[in-house]
Amino acid sequence: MNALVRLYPRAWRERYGDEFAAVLEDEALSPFDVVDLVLGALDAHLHPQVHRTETSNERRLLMRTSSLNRMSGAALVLAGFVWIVSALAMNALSDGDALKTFGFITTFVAVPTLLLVGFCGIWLHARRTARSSRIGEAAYSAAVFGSIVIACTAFNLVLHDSEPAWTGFIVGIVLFFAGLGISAVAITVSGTLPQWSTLPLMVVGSIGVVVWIAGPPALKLIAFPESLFVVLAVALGGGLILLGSALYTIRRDHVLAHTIGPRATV
Amino acid sequence: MGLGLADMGRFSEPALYILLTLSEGEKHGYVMMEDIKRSCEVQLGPGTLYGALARLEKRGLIEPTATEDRRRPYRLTGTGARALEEQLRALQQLATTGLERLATS
Repeated sequence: MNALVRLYPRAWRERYGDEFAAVLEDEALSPFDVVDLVLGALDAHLHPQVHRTETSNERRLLMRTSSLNRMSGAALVLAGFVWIVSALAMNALSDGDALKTFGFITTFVAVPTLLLVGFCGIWLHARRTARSSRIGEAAYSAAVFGSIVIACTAFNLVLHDSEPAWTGFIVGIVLFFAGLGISAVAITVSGTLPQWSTLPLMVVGSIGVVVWIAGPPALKLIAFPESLFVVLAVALGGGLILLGSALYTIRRDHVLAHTIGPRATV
Repeated sequence: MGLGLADMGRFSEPALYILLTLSEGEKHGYVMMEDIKRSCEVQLGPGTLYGALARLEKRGLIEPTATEDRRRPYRLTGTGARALEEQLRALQQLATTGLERLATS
């Protein structure tokens, strides 16, 4: 019975759910009634007669939440774009080019900063919607920390192209990819953001970890085809853009439903 | 259909039955279904009943009454009573015209 009522939109259920369930309990449902009910649910989705309303407090909270989600979503989208442009540009520029060094440094300053803002936003959104988990928090931290390690070691690499610098760089990258992959899984499992937004990062995170761990260590990494790293970097940037877009466009009713509790009016 | 019922599409007819059954007094969903089945010989499914109820309530033709029970009763509003009257007069006019034409043909 409840499963049939759940076919209706949330706002409709909040308004009519109890009395509707009472009618269904009183009535011995025939196949005709079940079909009628499914069509009624479809109609309620297509032509909603009931809408949610918010109080001024709710509106204030929504505005704050919305601004924060938009800011952190935009940071992730920007991180994705920076990552893609940087990967393509570095592939095109020759080693020793001053522009390449400048791009290298800019990327590894900008991306960790933007990721820090972005993942703080996801973490706060998860907490606000009661979907935060220890694993998720650890994964977000690993991704951000990994990006900071990459940034620091990248500076070191520009100054001293040595094996220890490469080792630190690779540790940072593995931490970064693993953090992103596990973050994507945690976000999906907890329902913090829709699955379409995390799937690419799950895939790229897993591939990234395998590629960077399984590959020859440190300096021998150069033996890898460079195009593989470019593809991986572009896919990673795309994944960040998707994740940021989902956070930027998160639906108001999703936030309301998990922060304030049900309210509906006709 | 008449006042407030014209734009209800496939719910126009069920909405008329609901107004009709509520003209007798306030009723909750299941009692409405039973009364419509008995008096109008029409079996309304629960999805259709609540689709029409939501539209009628949104247009202010019916309103819920206070209750502690999950079975919430509804009653006609003044606008709802006028809409029902207008609708019944239109049907009466239609029936009269139809019968006159049949008699003269």
